[in-house]
Amino acid sequence: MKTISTEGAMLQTATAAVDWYILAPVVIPLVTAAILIIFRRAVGLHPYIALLALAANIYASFELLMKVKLEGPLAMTMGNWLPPFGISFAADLLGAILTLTSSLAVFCVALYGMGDASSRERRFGFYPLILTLLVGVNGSFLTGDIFNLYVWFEVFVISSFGLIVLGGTRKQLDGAVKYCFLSLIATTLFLIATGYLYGLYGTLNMADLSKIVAPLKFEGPLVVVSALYLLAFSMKAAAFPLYFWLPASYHTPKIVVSALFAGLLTKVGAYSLLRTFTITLPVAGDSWLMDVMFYVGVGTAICGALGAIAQTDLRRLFSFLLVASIGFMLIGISIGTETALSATIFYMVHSILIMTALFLIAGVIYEHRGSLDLRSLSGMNKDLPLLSLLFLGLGFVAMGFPPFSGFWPKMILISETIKQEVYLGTFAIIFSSFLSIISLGRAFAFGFWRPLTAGAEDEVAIQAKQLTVYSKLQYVPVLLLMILVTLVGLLPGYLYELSSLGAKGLVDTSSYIAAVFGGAL
Amino acid sequence: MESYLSILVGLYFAGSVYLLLSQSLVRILIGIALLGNGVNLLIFTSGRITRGVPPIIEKGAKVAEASIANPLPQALILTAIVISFALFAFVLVLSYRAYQEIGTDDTAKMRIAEPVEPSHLPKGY
Repeated sequence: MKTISTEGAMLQTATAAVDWYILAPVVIPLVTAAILIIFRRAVGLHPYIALLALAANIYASFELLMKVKLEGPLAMTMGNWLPPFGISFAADLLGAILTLTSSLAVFCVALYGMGDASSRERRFGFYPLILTLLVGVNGSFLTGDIFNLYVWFEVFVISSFGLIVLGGTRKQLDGAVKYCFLSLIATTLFLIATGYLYGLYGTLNMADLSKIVAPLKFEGPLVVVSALYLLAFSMKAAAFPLYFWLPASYHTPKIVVSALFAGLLTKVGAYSLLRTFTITLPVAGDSWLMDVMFYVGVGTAICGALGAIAQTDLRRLFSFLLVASIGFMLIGISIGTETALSATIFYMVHSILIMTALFLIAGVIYEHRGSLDLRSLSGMNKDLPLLSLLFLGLGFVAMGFPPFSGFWPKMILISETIKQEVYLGTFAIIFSSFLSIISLGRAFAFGFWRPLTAGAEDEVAIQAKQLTVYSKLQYVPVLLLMILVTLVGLLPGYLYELSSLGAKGLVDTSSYIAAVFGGAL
Repeated sequence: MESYLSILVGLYFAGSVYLLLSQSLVRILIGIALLGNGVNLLIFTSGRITRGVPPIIEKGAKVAEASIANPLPQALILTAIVISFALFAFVLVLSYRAYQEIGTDDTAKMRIAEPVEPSHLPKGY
């Protein structure tokens, strides 16, 4: 055993090599991003190096997940300082599952980027930026320190700033202004709450906070801090009534970039809410604040789906569906039972995969038709049968039809709302899903079933001539994601086991706390 | 001392919220800068203020003999300053580029990504 100094504050020996394993999903993309920046002129190599690193990252995250599943939460504290003095990294099942899923999503995005990102955009750092974005996202999932969570937020926020302006068209700059300002304000609110939290309890370690806060009453300054966290993370997660920046900006950047954002960024906000109101501030998770979050969730689910119906631009339609999906997660988090939380984790995984896939398929459509406007898109089922089939399939996944991945978490969540007698939640989930069926069904009817509109033949022919080898390759990531969501849907047992174990760790925080404080001993 | 600083933080926040609610991008930028500085002061204050005792431990001793200033808030603020500086520099350039391209700094007129005229799908085909 390692010895501990008299102060009980520092490890005397080096951290065991195996503990560093937690950092792998952060370190691999970070180092690769640095390498790519060094070789910024060799843009031809960028996709291959990035894909190799991302594949390694998927493997590392998978190993981490298996390790966490076997041994329970893992933790390490950097610089030999014992918690709560040093910055802890703690991987529980929730973090490990999301790390793996986001690594998979980024891999598909990088694959799509091979054909979509021009060499000019690569020189401006497309691949390094998607890697650093993954660094920030994975760091957020794995950190055990709330100030460190803020730092990881800023890492992916600054990467996303770089990505959203890549290309620099007028429309993009307009969307970027809204996205950047709102992100900046949201993270500053997060920092304000963290400052108060430090002033109140003198610690920022999540496990330490959990121990301190658990016996307290939910009153006074704790209410302020919790409400500020709810506000800041809801803004990042695009929850009602703070979601307006998302449909204003997500349809403006390059399609591959918006797929990356849709897959990952809002989910980090939802993840932070989940983490904060279960482990970090357990009393806030049982308070009236959860009722507020419940109504916010209901509003998000319904407004998002209503917004989707009104759209004619395919990417804006998907943006609103993304908002609606955040509503389901908020409803799940606010109910807060073990079943509801496991459905939420399951739904988060589904949402990361399907949202990335939907935006990527929008990219394939754009490649073939040069437009994403449902008023002019038409007749795609005639000349693009595979695309039609994929769009229909992904639409079914997003609507939550069996046997795909969206069905199970929605079903579990609905049955849980009935069991907990929160029928408004039941209504919101069913109504929102029903509206999403209408909006996606209409998109399919207009874009695919509708015979080619008069005068569109020439344009389609012109567009068809511009197709390259890469246009065929762009089906690959979409197909990969389609296979993934179908597998998750057909064999829901594996993921459900993982997510219910993860939810158990959130309800009963003792194993997490023990891992952080005992892991370093 | 803390109470005076708290009032100052409140003034910072009030001023920044007033500026953030404006339609002009430049005012919003100044609001964001004020907000960032307010937060730094807030973290500094919440670490409690001690005068004239730098956090230095005597040679040979393992813990400080007397009470010393809390060094952690300063580390937090340093991190926050660096981050907010970088982000602020980015949005500054972004605002200028947006002004160049769009020709206005009035956020109510920046409607290129979300056109004002409503768009409807045809009722049928």
